[in-house]
Amino acid sequence: MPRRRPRSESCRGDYGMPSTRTRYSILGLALPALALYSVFFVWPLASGLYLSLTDWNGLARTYNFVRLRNFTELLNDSLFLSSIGVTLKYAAFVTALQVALGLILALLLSSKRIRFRSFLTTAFFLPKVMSAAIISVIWTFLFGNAFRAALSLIGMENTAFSWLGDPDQAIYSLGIVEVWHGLGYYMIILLAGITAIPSDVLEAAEIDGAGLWQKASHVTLPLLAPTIGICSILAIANSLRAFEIPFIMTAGGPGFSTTTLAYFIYNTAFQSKRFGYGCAAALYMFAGIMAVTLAQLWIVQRKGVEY
Amino acid sequence: MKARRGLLVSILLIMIAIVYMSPFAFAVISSFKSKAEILLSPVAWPESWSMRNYTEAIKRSNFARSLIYSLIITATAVAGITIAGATAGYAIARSYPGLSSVLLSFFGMSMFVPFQTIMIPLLRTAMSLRIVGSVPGLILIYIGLGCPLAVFLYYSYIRAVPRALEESAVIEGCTHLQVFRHIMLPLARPVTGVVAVLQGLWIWNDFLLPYLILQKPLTIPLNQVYFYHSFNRDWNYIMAIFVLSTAPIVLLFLCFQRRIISGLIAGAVKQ
Amino acid sequence: MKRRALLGLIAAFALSMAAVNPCYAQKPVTLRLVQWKTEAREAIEDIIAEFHREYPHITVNMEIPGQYDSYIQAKAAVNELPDIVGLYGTGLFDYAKSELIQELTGAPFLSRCTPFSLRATTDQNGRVWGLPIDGSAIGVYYNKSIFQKHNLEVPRTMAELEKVCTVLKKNNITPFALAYKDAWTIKMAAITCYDNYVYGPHPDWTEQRNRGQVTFAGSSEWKQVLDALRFILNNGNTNTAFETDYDTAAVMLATGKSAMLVQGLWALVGIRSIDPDMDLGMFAMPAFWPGAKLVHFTDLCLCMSANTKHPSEARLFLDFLTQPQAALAWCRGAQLFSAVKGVKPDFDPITGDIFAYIDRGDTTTVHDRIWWSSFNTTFEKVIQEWMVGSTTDAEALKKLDDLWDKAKASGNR
Repeated sequence: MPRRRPRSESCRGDYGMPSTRTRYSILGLALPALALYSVFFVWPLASGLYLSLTDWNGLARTYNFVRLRNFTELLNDSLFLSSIGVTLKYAAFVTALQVALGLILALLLSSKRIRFRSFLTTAFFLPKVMSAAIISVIWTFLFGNAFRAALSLIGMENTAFSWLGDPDQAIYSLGIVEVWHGLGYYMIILLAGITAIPSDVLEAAEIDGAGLWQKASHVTLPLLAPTIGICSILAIANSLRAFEIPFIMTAGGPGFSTTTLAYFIYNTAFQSKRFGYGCAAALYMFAGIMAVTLAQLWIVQRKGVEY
Repeated sequence: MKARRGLLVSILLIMIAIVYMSPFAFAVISSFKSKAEILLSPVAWPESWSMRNYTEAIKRSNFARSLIYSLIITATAVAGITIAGATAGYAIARSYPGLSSVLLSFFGMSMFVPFQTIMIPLLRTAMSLRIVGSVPGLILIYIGLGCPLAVFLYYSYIRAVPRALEESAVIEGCTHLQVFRHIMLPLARPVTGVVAVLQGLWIWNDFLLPYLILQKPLTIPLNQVYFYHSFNRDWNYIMAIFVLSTAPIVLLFLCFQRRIISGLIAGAVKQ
Repeated sequence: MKRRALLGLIAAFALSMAAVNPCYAQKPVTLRLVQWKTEAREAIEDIIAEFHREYPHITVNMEIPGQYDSYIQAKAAVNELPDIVGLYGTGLFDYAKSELIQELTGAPFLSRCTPFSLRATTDQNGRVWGLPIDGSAIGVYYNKSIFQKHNLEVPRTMAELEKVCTVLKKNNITPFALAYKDAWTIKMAAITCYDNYVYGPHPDWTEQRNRGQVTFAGSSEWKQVLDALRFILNNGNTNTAFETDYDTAAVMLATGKSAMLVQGLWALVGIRSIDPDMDLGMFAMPAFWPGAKLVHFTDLCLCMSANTKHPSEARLFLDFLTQPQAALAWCRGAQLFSAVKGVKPDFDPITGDIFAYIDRGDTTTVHDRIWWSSFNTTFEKVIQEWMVGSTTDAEALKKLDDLWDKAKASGNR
């Protein structure tokens, strides 16, 4: 039961609007979120900015303020630069496959002529609800032992491909795992986008005599463009942060061929014990991802205007 | 004709789907083999179907403990995120517009920043707060990191709700908290569902944050990886643990498929 | 009068009881012991139980955390280092420099350890920072039955090793089991080469490198290391080397698919778990000249936290560990050697082979203890990258030079 307390003038503000006091005091409700967010996100972010200007090794009690030395050293660090290259290769590969395959599957599954649609949806979506770390463990075995054994069963042992051992190939093998993991998610989003297309538009096209592919390319795809845009943004943002899969499956190897940017930062801090240097690299990563995401948003906005 | 083609494509898709799910099947089958069998004949059928791997694996890895901890951490953190996000979202939606945008941008910072960027200093903060190794500490961190998304979702939902209901409640003498609890929260139930699915799935499957903070195999993903990282890799136990680790979420998914999928889509679109 | 005398008698009686049985007068003390060797857990618990029997007021609680290094780091950062903490290699000296562990120089129990093992905890100024506990070895495991079957002798030079490999290959046996997916196994192979080839003639090579007198790229000995590693790579499961992990390689050795495996003593447990009765031996990695030396080193050392509340009790425990029965029990459980003089664990027939080298003095120790830590962790990856062919010999050595200089410049020890 609400308390009955004497209402003063200030509780009634303008008609329909809460009073000044209530509009301020209501912010008290936001305190828990603000407090925890500030302590565990904002403060570390600020402190990371500061640490990136030092040479702290994570262990010693004292450290030196080295200003921008970490940042310039990183630009000359071949391992850092190669990790950027690795990450970009991975992200491009993964995003292209996830969006393309997701689109194909979504288009197929949206058609009423396909049977067992709910089973198919479940099957493709299932890997998404599992932990990337847990999935990586199984795929390590598949790439390492199982595929070779399966090939030898049909006598093709010598054509066995070195999935994780070939430095040029390994990053793409990891990409396959990421695609397998996330494909269902993008398929579902695109499927939702397709079902959101008003059916009268599609019917109009059919009446005009459009066939399956014509319908798809001239009606569905253009209307789906914003959704495709969203999917690519999500996919790229996600794959640029790849850590668990390379961490568990190849530990960044062979050599440095699967050391992604996130893994480089982890290694720098916890293996090479250079916390300050790692923070600087992490800031570069932040800047990079922000730049890529903003660029994509700009492209999607522009494309949206055209249609 | 068209229906026949549809059927053929369906069957083709089903076959692809079966191949798509074969890693699970492989793990399940392998979990009944002995270690030597797995390494020497990976694609053969198991010699015997004993549950030995499961009983041993559960014992050695203390799987029951990791299941309980995962449940506790996920449930508590999601509850915390819901409450923190809803209260903040409501507060921001009903406050001054100028202040609201400032606060929203404040929370919005977290959308662009990858975890790696705060990973190192977060660990340092955790060390100075002495919560390294503490489960409640980990839960608080999850709430802190997970509430921005909830704040946004609740904010945009509540903003669209007319103020009439709250007006009458305030006139009757309710405090903000009461208005929130009795009116807003029940009203925002759809958002709560989305938040629970999105953040719950993330926390349940998360690896790196607990790895750094807890430093003990207390959650399900940690358990799996610790087992995998041990010196003499016992693949038979690893396979058994894989099946055990993924079973809960798979079962949950199969039961609540629609809810989970729609929640994930809603979250994606908002982002 | 009488009452006072009675009180005096009681006081005297209590005092004499305390003197006779010191434990009645002493508060119970709990010590925290943290180390990483899980294989020895039971043996150590037994030792702790024995210790408790001898000193009932002292209880030792042992923890073996996962992710050992970062766990200890986190504890050190908040001044909660355990009373007795296990450390090794450069880490030990890092902690000593940061004044996180206590100096133990002059402690009587140290005299029970071999001078060799003490080198692992003694810094350049002769100060001792920890108690060495065990000893391990890294060499080439070999299948004695296969060698006998094909009339092969233990190779003492690279030329002899080449002949052995030719015979093995002709009989469809993969000479070396390579587990190079796990980059640390590459480090093991490299250790058996460079600790002999480089640090044999130049024990102070690290200091020379720091002074700029030598470089990796300009060192003929390091070139020899690469040649040896290339030889091993070409005489093993070359095509699958980078997909095979440590366990699979152990299986290869145990099932006879392979005849040799370069690893440390700790691998014994895994190999024996597949074939307990295998006739297994170990020989030192040959050199390009007749001078094969087995790599023998101290692994686990126990140190005392600088601000432990119970220093004397901790010292009692460390002293106890150097008693012959305790040392023997630990090493039997851990399947490693002991740092204590005269203690020869007999856990496996292979120890005979290893002791042959130790007794002859044909050993060398590990030298990466004083390498820069960021160099140390990246070294094996650079070698792995070289092995897959992404860099040439010259490029790889230059990369090592660059890494070393960067690590040195960042000042991180």
